[in-house]
Amino acid sequence: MRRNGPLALTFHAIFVVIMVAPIAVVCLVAFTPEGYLSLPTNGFSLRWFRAIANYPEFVHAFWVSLGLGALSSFVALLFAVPAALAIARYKFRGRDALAALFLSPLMIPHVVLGVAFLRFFTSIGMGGSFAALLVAHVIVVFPFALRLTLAAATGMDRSIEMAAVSLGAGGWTLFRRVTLPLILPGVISGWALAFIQSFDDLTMTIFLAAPGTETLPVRMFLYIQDNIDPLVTSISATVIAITMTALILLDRFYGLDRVLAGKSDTGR
Amino acid sequence: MTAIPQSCPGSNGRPTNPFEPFPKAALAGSLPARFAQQVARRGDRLALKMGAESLAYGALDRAANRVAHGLLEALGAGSEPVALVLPQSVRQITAVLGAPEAYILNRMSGRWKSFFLLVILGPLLISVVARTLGWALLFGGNNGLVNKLLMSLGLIGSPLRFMFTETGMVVALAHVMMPFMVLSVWAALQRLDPQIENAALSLGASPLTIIRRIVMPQIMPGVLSGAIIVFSLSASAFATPAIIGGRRLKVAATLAYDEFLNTLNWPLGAAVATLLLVALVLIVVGSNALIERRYAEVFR
Repeated sequence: MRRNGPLALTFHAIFVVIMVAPIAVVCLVAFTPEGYLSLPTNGFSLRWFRAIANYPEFVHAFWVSLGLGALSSFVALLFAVPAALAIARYKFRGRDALAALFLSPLMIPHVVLGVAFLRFFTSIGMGGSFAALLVAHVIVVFPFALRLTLAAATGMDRSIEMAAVSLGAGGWTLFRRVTLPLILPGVISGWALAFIQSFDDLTMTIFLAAPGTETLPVRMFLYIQDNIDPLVTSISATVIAITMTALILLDRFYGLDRVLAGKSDTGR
Repeated sequence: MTAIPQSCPGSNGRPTNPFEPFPKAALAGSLPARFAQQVARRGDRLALKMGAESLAYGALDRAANRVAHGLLEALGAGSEPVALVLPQSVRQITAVLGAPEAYILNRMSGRWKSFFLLVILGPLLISVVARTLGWALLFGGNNGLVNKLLMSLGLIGSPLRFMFTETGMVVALAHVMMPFMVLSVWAALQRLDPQIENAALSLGASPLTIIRRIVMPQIMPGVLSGAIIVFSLSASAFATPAIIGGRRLKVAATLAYDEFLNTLNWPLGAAVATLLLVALVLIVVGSNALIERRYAEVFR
């Protein structure tokens, strides 16, 4: 393979700087010791991180987001694992249609989903409740959970399962001791990706959230609309730190390009 | 040699030499322009097939126009600017910057490659609100960092306005959407056989010629499908236009949000959302069909 020339490397450097700049500037401003937006020129301070504790609505929104993300991605996996195993192994009528249906929430703009869910949940009297948010999030993150689980299930070596069956394992034991451990990397990555998607979703959630069930992105967005001050930067920096941790874990365990491009294990 | 596409679809479907570049006309013009071209040339040919329903190019064009006019009528005589046209420029920026970046990245060695891939794709999963907030900080006012930098480089004489303008919205959206383009081109590059590049090199082609005549034609489907993803995502984007555009400069998504939660005109909000969905489905499915037909060999 040929090497990159100096021109290409310059382009690359500028590109990376542009990609990182907005994120870096948020994290830097979060450490400002001043009471207004500024880069920390004379010393770093954690005052704006401590200030978060004085805003209970942000702390509450953070817990709502965390709970919603963890719960909705878990519920989505409960559906995704059996669905993925069925689609990966069996040929049956309507298999492709079923797979397309499962992945369809990816194609619909989140504004449209938000509008539709708002109308639906209001008419059945669930508007603004945590349960409504949970249902909507499960539907939206399900394709992400399914895609990675499906990739793992497709690439799995079935002869190991057959060996287990020949040794007398059946049903639940087979699933718990053989199948699940084999597809576990895909399942965990699916969970992490689904969690991030739920944790970050603003566009759909903002239609559904009521005071009390506001998630962190919604709370941040509503706050930014009125004023931008160092408080939102410190909250953003915290969110970025959480996401980065999940990202690095995801990259270590599964490979980020595989997670995002949705490639199967056999595709390499 | 079986991995190399043996023929490329010329304009008449005749197999051609794989090393011959695609006809210039095939690469020129935007998707809408090429769609119009196709409509004019083969209006009666089949464009879409969904189950029992099928649409010819002419009918697809008429349907798309109906949606566009319906959208204009529903929103009144332009009292509020709705920037459905915006994605055009976002898409061009992401294509022009993202495609070369993916190419450069692909030529890096193992460890650097995965590191920079993490740096470039990572933002995809970081909260959109946080990323847009970053741009709002960089733009902020007349002495924002971006303006300072551009002025110190001598590129502009007086500070540009970025906040609450379309320029700022396009820059921030292009940043938000960039990973999708890099990913899409990246996937196309994985299918590229490096031996073809080496063959061209051994035959005396200059690096520029290799990029123009060997690499470009083969990754074009990746660039175009990336463009479709970027288009549909930015046409329905909410957080970035809302934060950068403020309350005055609206796009379809923020308009629907305002109608639902501020003015409480639910029917109008639902109409905007529905029109957005229908327009997007028509454009995405239509251009997908076009690309798949034009580059059928590369996809195989």
